[in-house]
Amino acid sequence: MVLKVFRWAPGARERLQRYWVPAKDGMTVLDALVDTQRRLDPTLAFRYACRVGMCGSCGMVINGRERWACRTLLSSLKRGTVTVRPLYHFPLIRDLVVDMAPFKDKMVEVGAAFVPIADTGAFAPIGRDTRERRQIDRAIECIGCGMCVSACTLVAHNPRFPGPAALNRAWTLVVDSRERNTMQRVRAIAGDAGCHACHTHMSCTERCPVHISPTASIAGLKRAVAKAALEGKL
Amino acid sequence: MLAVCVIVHLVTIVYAVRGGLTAAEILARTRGSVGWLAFYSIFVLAVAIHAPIGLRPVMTEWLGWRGRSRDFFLLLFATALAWTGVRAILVLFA
Amino acid sequence: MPERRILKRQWATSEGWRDTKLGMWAWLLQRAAAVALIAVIVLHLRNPFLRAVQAVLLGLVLLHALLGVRAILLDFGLPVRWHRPLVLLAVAVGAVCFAAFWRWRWY
Repeated sequence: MVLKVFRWAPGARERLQRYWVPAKDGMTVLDALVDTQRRLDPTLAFRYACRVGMCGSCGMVINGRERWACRTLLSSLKRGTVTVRPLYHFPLIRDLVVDMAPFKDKMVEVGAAFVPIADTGAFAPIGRDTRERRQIDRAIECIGCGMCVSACTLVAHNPRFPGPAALNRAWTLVVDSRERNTMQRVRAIAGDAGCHACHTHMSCTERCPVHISPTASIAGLKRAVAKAALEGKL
Repeated sequence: MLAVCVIVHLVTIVYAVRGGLTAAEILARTRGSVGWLAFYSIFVLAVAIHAPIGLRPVMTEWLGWRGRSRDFFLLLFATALAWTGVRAILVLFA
Repeated sequence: MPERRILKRQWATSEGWRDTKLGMWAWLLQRAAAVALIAVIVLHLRNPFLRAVQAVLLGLVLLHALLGVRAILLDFGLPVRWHRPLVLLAVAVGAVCFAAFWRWRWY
């Protein structure tokens, strides 16, 4: 089967390079890339780590859709040619490797670090059966693979939009009753450079491999902003 | 608000048409009616507010237009829309 | 200063449109209806009695309004897993309302 891989290096032209890869049973796109790199082209650059679908390092756009290369079986892809591109909306480093620094930057912008209220004890759990626990649990498993940011078209249109991952994280903190800076966070994500730029087309939710819905989290943020505005706290 | 206006408008039109009113007869009934004038004024206002607000992200995202000039254009657009609506109302009520 | 090259989905190619899902189509439809609605409303205000304009106006209004209701419901916390059925529901209800209304008005 033919692997068409996006190639680019600083100063060079971008191109789609074709490689012929003998497809074996149970082979994943990552296997195909590693095979290509070993047998055919050692200059091919791509990122991976655990190769078992846990770390999220191998996120790429495969046949037009964001996927983890290690979790994408060649047999699940319909065409005979597999086109592999790097994630959208991140600066390219080389070939399929993108710079994830903006991912972290957006997190910092929305204030992704937890700041506890002053008088929480050493252990301050959120009760197992509480609504708060369920809301946070639905959104907390993000491992930062960046596929949602690649899928979100609003990230392309609006450079100030924090993106699904950062907003999802912000939601887990806005909901957290032990969090000190709740209102500050709500103010930070209100408006066009925040949650209101989301138009609910769910591309992020469709792609997330750990079944988070950033759209649902962002809807929660919109409600929080509305509530704050009505209470005059905004 | 807009939804209410639309529904009221549709129901009214159907009521008028089923009653066999011609265009001229409809106009005869609306002329000089303060109630209908008020209703349609609210309708026009609601449209003139909703449409530009909706258009704003389209302009930002698909036309790359941002900032004060975009908002100024939208204000002009809202006014133009309202004006078109007012002219239509004047035909009905004047 | 190293060159910052950022790729975006290529909407001018068929590959860029691959894997566009219903949620995205619903939003695109909503937006297309919105823009078209502006033009059609202006036409309707110029001459309210043109049947073709009335028909298109009604259809677009129903579509835009019902998809808008879906968006508002999702914003208000409706479970996100219902978003696809809601699109189909919006379109179906719109079609039914249109047909019913158009027959009922008897011009």
